[in-house]
Amino acid sequence: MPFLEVFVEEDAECPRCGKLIPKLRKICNDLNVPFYVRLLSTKSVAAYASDSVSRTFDPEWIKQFGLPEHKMKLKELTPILEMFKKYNLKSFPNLVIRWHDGRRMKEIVIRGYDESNEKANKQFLANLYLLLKVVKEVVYRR
Amino acid sequence: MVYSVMYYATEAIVRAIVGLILKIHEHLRKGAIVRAKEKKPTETPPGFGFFKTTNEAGATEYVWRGRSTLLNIQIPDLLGGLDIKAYERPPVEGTRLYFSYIEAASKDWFKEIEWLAKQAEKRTG
Repeated sequence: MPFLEVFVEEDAECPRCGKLIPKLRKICNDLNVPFYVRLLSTKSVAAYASDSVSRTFDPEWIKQFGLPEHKMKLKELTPILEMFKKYNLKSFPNLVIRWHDGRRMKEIVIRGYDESNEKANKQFLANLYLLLKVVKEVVYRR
Repeated sequence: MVYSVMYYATEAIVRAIVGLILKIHEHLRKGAIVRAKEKKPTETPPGFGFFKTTNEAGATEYVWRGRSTLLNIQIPDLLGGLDIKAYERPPVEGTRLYFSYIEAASKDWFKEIEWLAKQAEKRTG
């Protein structure tokens, strides 16, 4: 059974999420890919559900899987990262593209969004469109 | 005049000899660097077997990764007495890729994804 979906983890009060979602919805409608939104803010029902990004801010995670640049800065940033963990701080929006390649689930997670730079924004949407198109072709090939 | 001719002649010969020696030395040095680079073994990350990791509680844990069965079994080392030969390197996850917006908005992002997919295909055979 082919499986491909796109979702955004958002906070209702986050202005960037509100700008990103209509654009993504348009792309997904165009390509006929399922798209939905997960509300994960501290005020939502799913406040204790973990998002797909905050675990990457954990010092333990960075020690094991982080890039060498992150590991170099880990000592300086540990107090901030500990504070993130203590107060359950999350960053929004997180865009997740998830599919099953026949053997296991695979995910691409993109953290953050910035609308101020129009050129970069266009490139970002073009990249996403291309990626989704290719992934869709691969997933529905079987 | 004869003396000056002899002086310049000897200087030219000495310069030529010293230059040749320096060139040979540099050539040998560069060759050694190139050979050392060629000899450097490329490490292939292990895909299956026992891996020694640290779990979320901070305790050491052994993970068995199956080769063809896709098993993923955690064996917590609660008492610290397990004697398992395991890789120190954590298991290659490769199923979730994290990017920031700036990375995803760059021109070569799609190429990078393609390259990663090829690497994953190679790894799985």
